[in-house]
Amino acid sequence: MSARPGPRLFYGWYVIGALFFMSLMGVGGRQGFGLFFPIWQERFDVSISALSAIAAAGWVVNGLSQPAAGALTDRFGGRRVMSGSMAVLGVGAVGVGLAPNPWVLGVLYIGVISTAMAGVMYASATSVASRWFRRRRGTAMSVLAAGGSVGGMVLVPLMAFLLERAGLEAAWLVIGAAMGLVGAPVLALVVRDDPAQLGLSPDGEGGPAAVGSRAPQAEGPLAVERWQAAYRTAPMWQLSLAYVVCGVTTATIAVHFIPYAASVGVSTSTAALAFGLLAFINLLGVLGTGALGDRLLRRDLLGLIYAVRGVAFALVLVLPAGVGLWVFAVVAGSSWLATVPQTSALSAEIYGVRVAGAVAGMMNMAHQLGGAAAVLLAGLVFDLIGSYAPTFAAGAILLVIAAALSFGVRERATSSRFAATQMVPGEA
Amino acid sequence: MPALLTVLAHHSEPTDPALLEGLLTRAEHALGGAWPVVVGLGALGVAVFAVGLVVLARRARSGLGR
Repeated sequence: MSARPGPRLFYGWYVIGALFFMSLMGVGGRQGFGLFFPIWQERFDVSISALSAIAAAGWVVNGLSQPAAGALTDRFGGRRVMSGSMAVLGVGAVGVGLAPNPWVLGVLYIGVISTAMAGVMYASATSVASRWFRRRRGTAMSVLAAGGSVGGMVLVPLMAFLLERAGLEAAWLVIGAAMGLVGAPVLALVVRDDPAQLGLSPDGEGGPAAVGSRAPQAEGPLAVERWQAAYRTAPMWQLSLAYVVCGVTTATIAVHFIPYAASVGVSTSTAALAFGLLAFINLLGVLGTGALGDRLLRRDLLGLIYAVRGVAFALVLVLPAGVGLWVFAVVAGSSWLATVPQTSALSAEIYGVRVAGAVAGMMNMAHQLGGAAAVLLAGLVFDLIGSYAPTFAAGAILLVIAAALSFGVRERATSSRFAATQMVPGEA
Repeated sequence: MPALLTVLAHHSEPTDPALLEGLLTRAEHALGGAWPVVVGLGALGVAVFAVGLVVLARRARSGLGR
């Protein structure tokens, strides 16, 4: 009689698969919101400005909700927070499709969708991934972040197709049903908050472990019990400020790419294609750098990612407009989402996984609010002088500063990967 | 203040609708009649991924005796 063979694939990868799916649904649904503007504009007899204001307020509310989502994850576990948030997102999406006037639309988008979105992207997910993976943490986080890139490529065309063939209500009904009836159950059925719940250790190494609520985790010298304590140390400020620059530069491009292209004589259609190339290269970049980060010093890779993006911003200023747009798409695309896995993994390794959700939530809030402020400022500058050159120049300078901040993190002395680690026992 | 609100409203979309529309028009034009098939296959791929993930994860957990 032979023993029953164990599963070949570490269960953590199933968890990452579910988080990939969640990221796909979340980012895709969020990016597709803009597709419906012309319909709402006509149906509600409101301006694009009013609809943009709803989207802008949603962005800010999403940023402000991030720390709460992270703290809830640390307290109640990512499985509950993420599956609950996905179910709320589903209900919110159906409601948005049925909204009878712009006020209801605004309340649902700002109050329900943007708040619940904080529960699915990315503080909760990176916190759960940190518990499941230690040695391959960067790789795992890059896979879940890549779900966002795939979501933009798959879900946005699907929403556009449904809108064109079946109408606005049907499009949101399908997306809402996919989130509430597929996304939420997938998260609830597959995700486990900690490997110890299945008697496993992080990375699946070390053989079977005792079943408990928390697996033993290695911690570095700066590991904290409360997220507030992280702000008394240098790495939190270095990583947070660099992440603000990430938000500033990505949000500016997401919003101002077409107006910039128009200002230098490039058509909307060509600019959109260049942005599509950027999104595709981004997918390759996030997966490649995620795996590299597990082999190199994360701070070096993070610094390099910011430096590469800085070069992309500078090239836009010096190259002819037509060529510059394509070069920007390739160079900047390789660095786009790549900061997420490295920043999240590094902060979890420095401050420990116990408050990884809250720490990531605070950083994400800074990222979102910085992005919102930059979008506003870039628009103001363009309206005043009719050029995006100062925006790109400022972006390049800020990215050099972000690279310097990242290179300055004393990773060998503070990270659990390098410090003389002490194992914090799990909880039975 | 009104000027600030105008700028906020004009420049604060999460992703520019014109950008999305331009990208989708390009893709639809390039794929022609195959556009619905490609979109459908994408949706089907996502659904199969979700169901397959739940089934395989359940099997993996039962292999662990959980």
